[in-house]
Amino acid sequence: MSNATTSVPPPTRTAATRNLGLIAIVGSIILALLGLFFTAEDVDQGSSVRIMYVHVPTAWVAYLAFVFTAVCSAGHLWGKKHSLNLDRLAGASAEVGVIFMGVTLVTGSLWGRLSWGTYWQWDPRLTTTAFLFVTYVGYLAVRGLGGTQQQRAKRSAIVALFAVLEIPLVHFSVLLWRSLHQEATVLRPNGDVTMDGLMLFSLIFGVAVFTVIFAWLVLHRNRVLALVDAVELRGIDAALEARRAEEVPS
Amino acid sequence: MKHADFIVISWVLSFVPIALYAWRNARRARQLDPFVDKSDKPWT
Repeated sequence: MSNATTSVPPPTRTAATRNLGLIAIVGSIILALLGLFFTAEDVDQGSSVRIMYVHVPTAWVAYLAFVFTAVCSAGHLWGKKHSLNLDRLAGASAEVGVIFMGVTLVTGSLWGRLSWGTYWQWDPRLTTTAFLFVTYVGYLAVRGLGGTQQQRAKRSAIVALFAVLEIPLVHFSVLLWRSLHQEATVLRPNGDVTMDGLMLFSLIFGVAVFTVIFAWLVLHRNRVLALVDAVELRGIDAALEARRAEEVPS
Repeated sequence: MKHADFIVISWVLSFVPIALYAWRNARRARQLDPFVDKSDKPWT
């Protein structure tokens, strides 16, 4: 691809996405400064706690992405118009969620190597998280099956509504079973948060930054998917026209 | 690997996939653009 082509802004860009992108970049830089330099080391875990500022926010925003996928899917299934835009939003959100969940698994694995001395254990939290990741990879595979856009939307919406039920299982796995993974530090059932002020602020700030990144990516991806659908419909229309032209008796 | 390497790699591996995904999306959008018209882009 030539430099001239890559320098052209993508057709999915608007003022809103440009501003979101800028906020995401500036926020990420501030988060890196907070997480890597300004926050204190943990009493027990030392500097390895710095992985928390990316590991936990990506996990939470991945949950958010999958819940958003389910909400959009429900909107498509039970809405009067059976909106394809809601279906595309669901697909875009699931894609971003899978990326964030993948990041959670990789960063968690590296953190585990430092804390537990191993990259992986078949621990309830780790196993259910991996299962959730694989489920949504499957959801994306279902979206790629053949059929019309309405067929794609309906079958993937049904899968999304079942898949989202796994999230409570993942979140409460550390309470339901004996787990190597620590219990929740912030979202505890009793509401008690035991964390240093700047550490807690950085963690919440990380969640905000990754939420902005999520919104930015989903907006762009939703528009790309709309373009893909439009091109596909034009291709079908062109093929039908060609077939009709062939059927005209000479 | 040193302790700090794990931390730096974790941060790099958090943002690189996101950047690659954003870049791939932008490239796909530019590829599709010649095949659609303004009515296909209600956000513009």
